[in-house]
Amino acid sequence: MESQQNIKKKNYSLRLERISQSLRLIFSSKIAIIGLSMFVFWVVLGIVSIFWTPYEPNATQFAQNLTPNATNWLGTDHLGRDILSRLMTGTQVILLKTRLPGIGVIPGGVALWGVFGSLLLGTVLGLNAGYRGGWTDQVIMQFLDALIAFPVIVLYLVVISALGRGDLVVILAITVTGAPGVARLARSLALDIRTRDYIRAAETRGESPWYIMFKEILPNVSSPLLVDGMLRVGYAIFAIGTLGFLGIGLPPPDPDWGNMVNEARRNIFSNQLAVIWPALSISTLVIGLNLFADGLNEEINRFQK
Amino acid sequence: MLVRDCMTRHPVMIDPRLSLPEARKVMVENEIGHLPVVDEGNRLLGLITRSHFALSLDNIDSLDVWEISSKLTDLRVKSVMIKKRQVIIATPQTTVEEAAKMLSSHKISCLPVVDSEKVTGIITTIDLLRSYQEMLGLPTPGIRVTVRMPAHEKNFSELAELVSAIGEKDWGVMGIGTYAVPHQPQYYEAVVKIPGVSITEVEQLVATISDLTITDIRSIS
Amino acid sequence: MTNPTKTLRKNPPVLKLENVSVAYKVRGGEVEAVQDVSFEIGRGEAIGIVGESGCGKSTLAWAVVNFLGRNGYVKRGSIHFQGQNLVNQGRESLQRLRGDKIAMVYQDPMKALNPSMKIGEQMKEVLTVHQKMEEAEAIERCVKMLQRVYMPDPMNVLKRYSHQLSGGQQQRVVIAMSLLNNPALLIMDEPTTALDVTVEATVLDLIDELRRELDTAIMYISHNLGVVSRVCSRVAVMYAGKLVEWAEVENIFRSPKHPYTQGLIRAIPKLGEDKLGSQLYPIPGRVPAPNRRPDGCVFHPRCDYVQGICRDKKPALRDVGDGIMVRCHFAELIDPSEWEPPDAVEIKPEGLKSEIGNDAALLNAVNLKTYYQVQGSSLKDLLGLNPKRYVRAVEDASLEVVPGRTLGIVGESGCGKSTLIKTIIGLEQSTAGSIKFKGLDISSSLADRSEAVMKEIQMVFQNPDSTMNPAYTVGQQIARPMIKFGVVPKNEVRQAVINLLGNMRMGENYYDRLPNQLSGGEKQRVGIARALATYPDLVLCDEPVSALDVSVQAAILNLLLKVQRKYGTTMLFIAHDLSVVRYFCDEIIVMYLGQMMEKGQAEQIYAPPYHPYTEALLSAVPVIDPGSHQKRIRLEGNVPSAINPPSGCRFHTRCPRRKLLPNGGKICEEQLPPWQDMGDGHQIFCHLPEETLCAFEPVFTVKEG
Repeated sequence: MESQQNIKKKNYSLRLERISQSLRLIFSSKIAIIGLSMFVFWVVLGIVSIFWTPYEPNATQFAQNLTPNATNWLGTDHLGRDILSRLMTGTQVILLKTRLPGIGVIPGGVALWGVFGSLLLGTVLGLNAGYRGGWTDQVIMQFLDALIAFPVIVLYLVVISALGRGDLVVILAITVTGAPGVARLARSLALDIRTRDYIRAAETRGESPWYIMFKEILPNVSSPLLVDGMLRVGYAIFAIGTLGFLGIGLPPPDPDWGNMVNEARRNIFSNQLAVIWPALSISTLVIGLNLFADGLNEEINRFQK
Repeated sequence: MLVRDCMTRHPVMIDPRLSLPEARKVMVENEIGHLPVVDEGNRLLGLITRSHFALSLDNIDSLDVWEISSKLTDLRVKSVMIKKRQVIIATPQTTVEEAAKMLSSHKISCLPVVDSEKVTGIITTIDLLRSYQEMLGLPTPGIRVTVRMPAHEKNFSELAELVSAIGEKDWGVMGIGTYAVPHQPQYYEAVVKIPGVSITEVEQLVATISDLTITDIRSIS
Repeated sequence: MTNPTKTLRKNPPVLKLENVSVAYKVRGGEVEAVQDVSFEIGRGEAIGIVGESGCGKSTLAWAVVNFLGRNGYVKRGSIHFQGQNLVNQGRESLQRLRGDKIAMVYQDPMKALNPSMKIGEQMKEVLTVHQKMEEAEAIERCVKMLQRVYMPDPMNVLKRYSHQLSGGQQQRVVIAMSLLNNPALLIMDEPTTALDVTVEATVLDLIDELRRELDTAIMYISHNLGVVSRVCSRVAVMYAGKLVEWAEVENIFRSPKHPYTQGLIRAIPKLGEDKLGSQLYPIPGRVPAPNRRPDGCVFHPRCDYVQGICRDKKPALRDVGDGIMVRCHFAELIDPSEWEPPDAVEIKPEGLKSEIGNDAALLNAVNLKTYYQVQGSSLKDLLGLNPKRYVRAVEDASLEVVPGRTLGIVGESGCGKSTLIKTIIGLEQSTAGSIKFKGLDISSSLADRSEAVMKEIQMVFQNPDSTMNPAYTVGQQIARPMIKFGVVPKNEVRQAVINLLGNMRMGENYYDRLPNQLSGGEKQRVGIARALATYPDLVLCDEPVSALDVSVQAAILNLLLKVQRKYGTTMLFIAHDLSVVRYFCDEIIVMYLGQMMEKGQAEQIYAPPYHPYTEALLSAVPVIDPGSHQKRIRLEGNVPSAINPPSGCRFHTRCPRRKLLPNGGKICEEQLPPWQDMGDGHQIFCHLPEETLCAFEPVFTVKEG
């Protein structure tokens, strides 16, 4: 028993070592640190907004279209709502919570779940296509190519008009549009990995294709996939913004950045800043994620060399 | 024997932009006295020899020590070398005797070997002397005999007789050379190197041929 | 021209290195990859530089041609080329000093050739762009140079792309290209390592001939001592960035002075030695990384003669007479013939079976065929209108392996040896024929095999870098087959893995290591351990040692022998190195282009009667025995395509012995040869009558005098 415990301890310390190794990886790239801090800034703001916002985000308690001032730091919108409070709360749906009708609220924002979905679907399809090859590859890739051929916005519109508005629908839309890209990446990585001798060794052990795909190949392709996923979170936030702008994004009552841009657009001549703030929020978050992913990618590649 | 067989391949060559001291250093390091000057494609541009480093007194008379040294360092190979047109060259197909004639008649000590404009080697008096040794079979031990014969219209028929007599005996000839005897135009002499025989055997053989006398015979090991 | 009247005054060297140290700037400081190397190369002389990987051989070459990259530089010392120092010169002035007089040939010809340009354009470019030569003249020179390197049909070659040439031809083109400028110094970095032995032999002959005729100085880098002994007159042995020995080839092999050189030579199986009569001695330990070289003599942690002074004082390179320079404190005192293996070295396992047992064959393949379908890319091919074409990778292979013995398969690349064992293990589907394992038919694909069969057949792979999954620890990877097949109860797996690691001479601390923390040899040990985890009856080894350094190779071979004795494992062993196969295997099969050419006991294969192909292979092997004479047979042309193999005997297009048959060997083109029995299970697949085959002289004869 004692040795068993020892082993556990050892495994634990081993894991710690690996985590610290990957952390060191992040901190060795300046770009990644800048990106990460931009991302963390929004996450922290979102977490704070769960417990406290300067004002009730949906209350129309101020004068309309105020410019920034001491009470409303970022001014107010056309209905007299505090923009800062609305921006802070808007982070929640994107990054921190998903509202499921009938079930309640689950942690993890719509963008994260959407990307998780596309990673899951894309990886399963991509690994199958890449490892099995032949007909499976042909069928999967033809199908995904057809999907890619559709303009993304049209795809969103189709999914949402068919299923109606809702967080789950947006997640689904992001999943479906993101999966082909992930699948292509996973396939190309799997095509490379499957020529390695350790895959031959697994085959001669009679391992099932699923074991080989997920136990032998996946751990070796996970880092590029994760980096890709991080980029995709950025795209997803963008997509949510676009959908909000078109008025088919995340449903009320929570404020939605895209929707905020859209509403402010109508009053752009009386209050220009109301457009700028949510647009700036979207872009800093996306840029932050992009920088983080880029820096990480560079470090991983250098590490491999 | 042609030039290509006895020339030095991959000669050290220099770029015309080098300074004179640099060129001098190259010569010293490589223990050579001649440097062909070439462009990037190894095409001959000129030649520079040791004598180029000697400055005539007239030129430096009026200069002090510092000026001399700065004048020297500023000189480029390009400005002092013998220009291409004046360089006497050989080709790989030139015969060694032609090359020797070129060297002696121009009183120079080296010929750049140029093959389709590119410098492929250099042949110096040393190289020619080395080939001369070999033509007379110096490296192999044997009997070196000098025979004298009269000069007449049937040039060296006696020598031909001697060679065929050697052939009949199943001996070999390692080297052979003929020349007019200095100050005695009525005679020619030939040096023949025969390995694996004794002096007396050679003497007996030469005695069988009329008009042929031995002026010198020695065994070389 | 030879120069028998050796001049008393030595010619100045073409290249002279003095105390050269090369350093690379890395994160947190710099490492000295090469330290204090001095030697010189004379006109028309070939110098070999040998040593294991990581000893700084290539770095040295790059320092000479100034290709060290952004972070590398010559830290100390001088490199004189024709009397001019190349160190610390700018690109411009280097060009002036060096011109095109130094050329370099790399290991991989594909790296030197541009795949998108025709050979002719690339070669021409060297002359027209750089030297502003006229187009027509340049082409003429290229053709001449290709003829010099014995390239058949040079005009045609100029019009082709590099991928349309075979490996040997590519290397010839690269050599021809490097000679276009008539360089005074040619640096060759493992130029034949990627080539097959028969091709290697012709390329080496070519290099030697060019050196003699063009008077080019050659710096030849190789890990293979045999190759170096064939082309070089003097050898520099490098270890951990330092020159440890410098001597004439003869002296290096007859009486190596430095313990490292001695170790290297002991680690290589001599051609003709086998596991029963001799023993390989690996050098313990491994080459230290440049940033953790030990104090004192760099070799002392691995040296058998180590004494106190070795740990404290760095030895200098000393002249010990006969032109031999050694970097060792005790060079004169060490007598290699009195060397005793230290206890740490694995001693040859006793009790290997040498006699043929009467046991039933463990594995039995009859008339096995494996064809691959070739997928054309033309429209007709896609529509299926063209007749289907096949690569006939294995044709009518029959073999039998007796339990506890080792069957070796040799042949050049493309001979189908890998396909054969992949078919046996089930990674490839056989087209026809039968494979029986313990009497069970296993010619079906892997998916149809029972777990019991899979458990009994395992494989060891060639490439140490890809044999292990980088995501899992050593322990996890060895444990997996044990768990999968339930070889040991779950709670005993860890102990079983540790035992197995112990048998691989690896301690328990390796259990939690990741593959990137292991050296090539260690990875290969883990690969072997994984294959043995299920205690299989049959282990297939696909070139398990060819990617390893010689000293590591010896350790792995010893390990495999030990494993075989301990578990009674039967092995199929593929290698292209004939000395290794001779050493390791009991029976050998020689393959050429998918067909088996000869089979028999190991000693039968390596002595007459030979199959003509075996004879050619043997005479191409680079050996390092200065006391024996090797017959010189070189194969003409290239290995034909396996899509459309020659009719009759597949070897007939290149067979040098064919003309011994009446009618110029017409029968070889028309009919498949018979399997001729030479007695004692030795069989030869050839039309030549037995008497002729028996009359062949042995490839190796003892040199007279």
